[in-house]
Amino acid sequence: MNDDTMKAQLLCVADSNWVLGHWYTVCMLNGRELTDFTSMAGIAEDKLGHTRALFRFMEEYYELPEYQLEFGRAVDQVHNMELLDAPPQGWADFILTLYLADVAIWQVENAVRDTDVAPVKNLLTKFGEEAYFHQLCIDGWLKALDDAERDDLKAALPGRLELALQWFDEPELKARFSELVFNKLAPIIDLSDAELAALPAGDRTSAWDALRRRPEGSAMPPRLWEAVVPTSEDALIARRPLAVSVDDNIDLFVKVRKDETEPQF
Amino acid sequence: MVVEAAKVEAAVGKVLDPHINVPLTEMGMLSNVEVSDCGDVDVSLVFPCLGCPAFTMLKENVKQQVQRVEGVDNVRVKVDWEASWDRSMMSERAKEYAAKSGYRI
Amino acid sequence: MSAPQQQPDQPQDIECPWCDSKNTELLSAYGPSVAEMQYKCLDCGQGFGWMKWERRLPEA
Ligand SMILES: [Zn+2]
Repeated sequence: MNDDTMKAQLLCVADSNWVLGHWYTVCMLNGRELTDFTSMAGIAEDKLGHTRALFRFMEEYYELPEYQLEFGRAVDQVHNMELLDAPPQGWADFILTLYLADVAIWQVENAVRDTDVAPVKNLLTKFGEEAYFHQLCIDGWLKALDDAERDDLKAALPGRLELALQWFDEPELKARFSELVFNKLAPIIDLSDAELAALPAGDRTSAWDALRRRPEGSAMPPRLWEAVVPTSEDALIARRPLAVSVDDNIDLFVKVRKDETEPQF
Repeated sequence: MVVEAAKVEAAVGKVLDPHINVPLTEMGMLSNVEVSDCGDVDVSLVFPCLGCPAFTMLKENVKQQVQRVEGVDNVRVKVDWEASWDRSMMSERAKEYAAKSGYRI
Repeated sequence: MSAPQQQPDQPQDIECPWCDSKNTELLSAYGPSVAEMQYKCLDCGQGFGWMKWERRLPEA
């Protein structure tokens, strides 16, 4: 794998984890009990942590300006998976999509792990060690679905699965992914042979950008992008991570202090 | 003035892991110290969790402590991407301390 | 709707840091920090955090 291919692949997993992390943060309050909240908060932290660790590493390794990957790209330069473009339609669709995304991302991370670049191997292995526990959680959520939710999951499966399968360029990864998914889901939603046969094969219908693993020229919807990298000035200040403010010695509260005529409390 | 690496290490040991409250050195998180003749110090850290929300805070705390060491001019704190942290890198003392605070390592 | 419960893949024989018993039960997959799972000791009744630095990988 040459360096440019590896860079594109790393961006595919970093950016997909980035959006996936935001799925957790945005949906966290839909949890049903305390352990749901702590788990979703924890997984969100891990996924965004994976993203940022890769961003920081890549900025060093590829000699990019600091924070360029996080704040310096346009939406059509982001390599996020299309599977996460459309928001969850309900609890079952949410859990299903988390599951498909996690398993798909690990398939690719695991493949990219086979490299001589030691830091990449280390980082991706570490992602896997943490994703192990994410998948343990998702397993629990899948098993805990009630009858109505299992029907919802069955209904959501063809659409989500199609996008998940399209993400794979490598036939062997795609085949292994299908196998893992069917083994996991078949006992939960009781798929008949006819239903299995009718599931999408993930054939691509439009021109494909192999570097970004997305349909050519496509990008995540504006509302999702705004959640990931807010553009409004106030949102920017609120969401600018500590990592940036500490390094740049930016005073996060300078806006409040600027106007001395304001009443003091 | 030559900076003593041992003093830099001791300075890093003044920073505590915010979760278990033991020195970073006992957590096995100090991966390397490089000292130049002109007082530049490079400290490399390795982290147990990649999502660690204290990532930058710890880097900043280490920088502050090392800056106080005699003869130190510039301090750079980096992540050692080559290293990979493992629980076996923790000292026995740190594990015992963690157990006393209700953490099984 | 319950969150993850005991499963076959889950780490087994987690030791209580207070009394060293292995008679323990998972309470929550994540605790106050991402690095820990919360357990309860069925012998001494105390809760504790188990640091999940297991080095296990998902199925691939
Ligand atoms: Zn006990």
